[in-house]
Amino acid sequence: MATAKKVALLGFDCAIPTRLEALILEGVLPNFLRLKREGSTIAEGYNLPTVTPPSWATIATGAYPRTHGVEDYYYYVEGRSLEHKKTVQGFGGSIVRAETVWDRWDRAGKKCLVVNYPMSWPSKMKNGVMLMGQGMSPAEFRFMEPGNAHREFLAAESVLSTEVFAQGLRVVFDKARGWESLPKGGEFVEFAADVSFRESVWPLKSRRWFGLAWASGDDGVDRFALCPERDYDKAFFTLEKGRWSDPVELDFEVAEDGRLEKGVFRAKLMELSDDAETFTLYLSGVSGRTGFVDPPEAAGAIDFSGRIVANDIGLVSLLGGVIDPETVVELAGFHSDWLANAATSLLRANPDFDLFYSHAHNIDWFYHAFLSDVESPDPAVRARGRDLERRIYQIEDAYLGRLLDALPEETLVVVCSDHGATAAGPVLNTAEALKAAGLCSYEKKKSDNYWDIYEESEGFDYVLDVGKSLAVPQKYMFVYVNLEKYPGGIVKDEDYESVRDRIIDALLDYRHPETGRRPVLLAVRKEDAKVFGMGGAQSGDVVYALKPEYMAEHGYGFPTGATGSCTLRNILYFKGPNVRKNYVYPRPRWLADIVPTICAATGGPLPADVEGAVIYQIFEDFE
Amino acid sequence: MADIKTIVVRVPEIREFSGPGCDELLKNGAVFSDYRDGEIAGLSDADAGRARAENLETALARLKDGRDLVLLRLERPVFEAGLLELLEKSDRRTILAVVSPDRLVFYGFGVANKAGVIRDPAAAADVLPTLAMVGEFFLEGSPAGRVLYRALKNPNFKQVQIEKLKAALGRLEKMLKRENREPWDKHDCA
Repeated sequence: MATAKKVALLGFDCAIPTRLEALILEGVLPNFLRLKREGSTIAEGYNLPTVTPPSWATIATGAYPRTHGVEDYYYYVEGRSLEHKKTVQGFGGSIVRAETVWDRWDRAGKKCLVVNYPMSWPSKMKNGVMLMGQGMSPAEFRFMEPGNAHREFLAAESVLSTEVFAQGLRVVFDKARGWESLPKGGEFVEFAADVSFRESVWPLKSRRWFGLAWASGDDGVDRFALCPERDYDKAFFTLEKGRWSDPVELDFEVAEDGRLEKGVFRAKLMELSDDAETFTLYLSGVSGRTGFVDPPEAAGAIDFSGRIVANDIGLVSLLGGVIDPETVVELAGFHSDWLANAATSLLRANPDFDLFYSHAHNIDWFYHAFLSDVESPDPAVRARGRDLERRIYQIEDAYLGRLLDALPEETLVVVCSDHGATAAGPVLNTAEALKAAGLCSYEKKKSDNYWDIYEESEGFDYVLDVGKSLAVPQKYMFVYVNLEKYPGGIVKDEDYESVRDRIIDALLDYRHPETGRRPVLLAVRKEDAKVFGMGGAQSGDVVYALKPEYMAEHGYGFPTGATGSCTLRNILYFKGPNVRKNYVYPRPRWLADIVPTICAATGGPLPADVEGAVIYQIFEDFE
Repeated sequence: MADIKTIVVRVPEIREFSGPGCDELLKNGAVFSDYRDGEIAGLSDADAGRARAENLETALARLKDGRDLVLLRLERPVFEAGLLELLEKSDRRTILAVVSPDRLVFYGFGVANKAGVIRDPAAAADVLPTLAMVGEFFLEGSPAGRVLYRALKNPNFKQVQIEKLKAALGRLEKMLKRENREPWDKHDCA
């Protein structure tokens, strides 16, 4: 069976098998079609929970979440209160307690390339190369960060606008004065802005930049240039509304020690009215070139100039009203190009690689913004959503093609996703369910200050008082018994089981106020959750799962869940030496089966904590 | 500090003057030729007192400081030069009403600068109500004057500003909501 000389795992976060199949049938994804025809498809790919960090940790280790220790998007830090807001994001290799396949192969003297893999950084390899995966984007830092916080190499996206945006700087145009080399035209107006750079791993010094807008003809103001000084000849770029700038490469000064770091960004002029009263310039994140590749000298193989990471493809800016869906698709293209360039450059520079592990996140970001549109009952909305979906998958298909072309023939290629998704339904407020059973204190804030209360946000307006709660919902699928050992805990050890029973009853009995039906599919003791791979140290005392129609895209339910044309299953394909062609494996398999299958196909050593099984039937010589 | 500044300038009869300041004013302002001069009403005594600037230098300093309303008189000897300086030094977000015995001219921010000469009758009592449609000062009581809509680029300017503020508030609340999600809320992996 061991005939492949190399392995490449290409991950596509949240690729939904049913949606992928529909698009393959449309004929718009030639490289995914190639995978299907030239390889084996696992029709029912499962993992639990259906969440990014635990799933990618399983794909990397062959171990279940109860073993590798990552059971949610968020991570409980020992010694803290159980309140969910005290958890941190569960990314990075430091929290993975099982041995990864690349660490095992590295110990055996093999060379592994790990590119943008969420649960990888920091590297412990002696022979391999790692490009930072400690979040969902390359060169992004989320380890131990709370909430949605993250930091980038070099800085996150922002916006310059006459309007007010959460992530922006407000600017006001005035008459342009003191400029050199003005272009042809009239009605020149300007602003000066002290642009600061947000969410940086190395805080950067702000820069004073100047915006110049003018009328190139008779129809009012229609051009904009961003300049480092009042000299148009030095403009970074000139734009019309709706256009992207070329990549801008600059030196950015690190505040702490004054050193200069090269960075690239792009800008898109989202809005410019003919009187310059309304103006919005979206600035992409600044993409650096150092600090996120190990060993550092390996970065020399990658040409970072002219490309931007486009972290989260502008999803937060979309939510914040800065950019539109078209711009999201464009950013997805930039992100994919950056990643493909980095990955293929490392493959070319390291032809002696044995293992290549990578992940791309475009599809997941897209679905978080647009899955409800993709599944909308309104035909016009659905058509628009599916058009966007098609374009995103086409970007990923092109990315797949570039990687397939860069991989030698003797490579076993594995393409997978971590989970699927279903359109958001009525959300179960777990705290309300527990409160209804007298288990939890969850009350509206008492304040007369308008800014203390925001009507639509429970998280902002409600207070879960841990000190008055027997049970605390935490992370996506867990409820903890608030034992006295926790800060603010009030449950005695001898009452643990009775409280736990009450939690399970409360969840199972609860009827959703919108539908009148029970939203909870399953609620079990943590030790019972071991049966399906959970119930480890990061598990709550009760583990519960929701019916798919009560969830928000993914994370809360079983991988068998499906609504509309979507499913929570993951995709899983194998292609390469000795792999059956055009074969569909008909039975359920787990993501934990990938590592043992890879090792069986190559003869590579098994990581220490592997628990999955070999998918024997995909190999030609099985029988 | 006002975002939009307003200045009302009392001047001698404009038709007696020519020069770059007058030319600019009459070319790019909204000019009411059928104008009946009188008292410019609509402010409380206290507000009027605070707004009054004794000379051009003081007026310009107050505009630079972001004062919402300035009242100024330019006498004959300094009119053209003063007007020119005022036009050059006031920023883009300043609306100007030039009140003379023979005509009323609106100029600057929010003004229909291609309106040219408007033959609709206008009166002194109309000046502040018209300016208040764009500016950020408060009128007192129930002014008797009309709003001279034809002077304005967008008669719905204030409503547009309100809509923009509502949209901005909505965006900020959305981001606030995102940062305060409960674990069962929609998440976005971003």
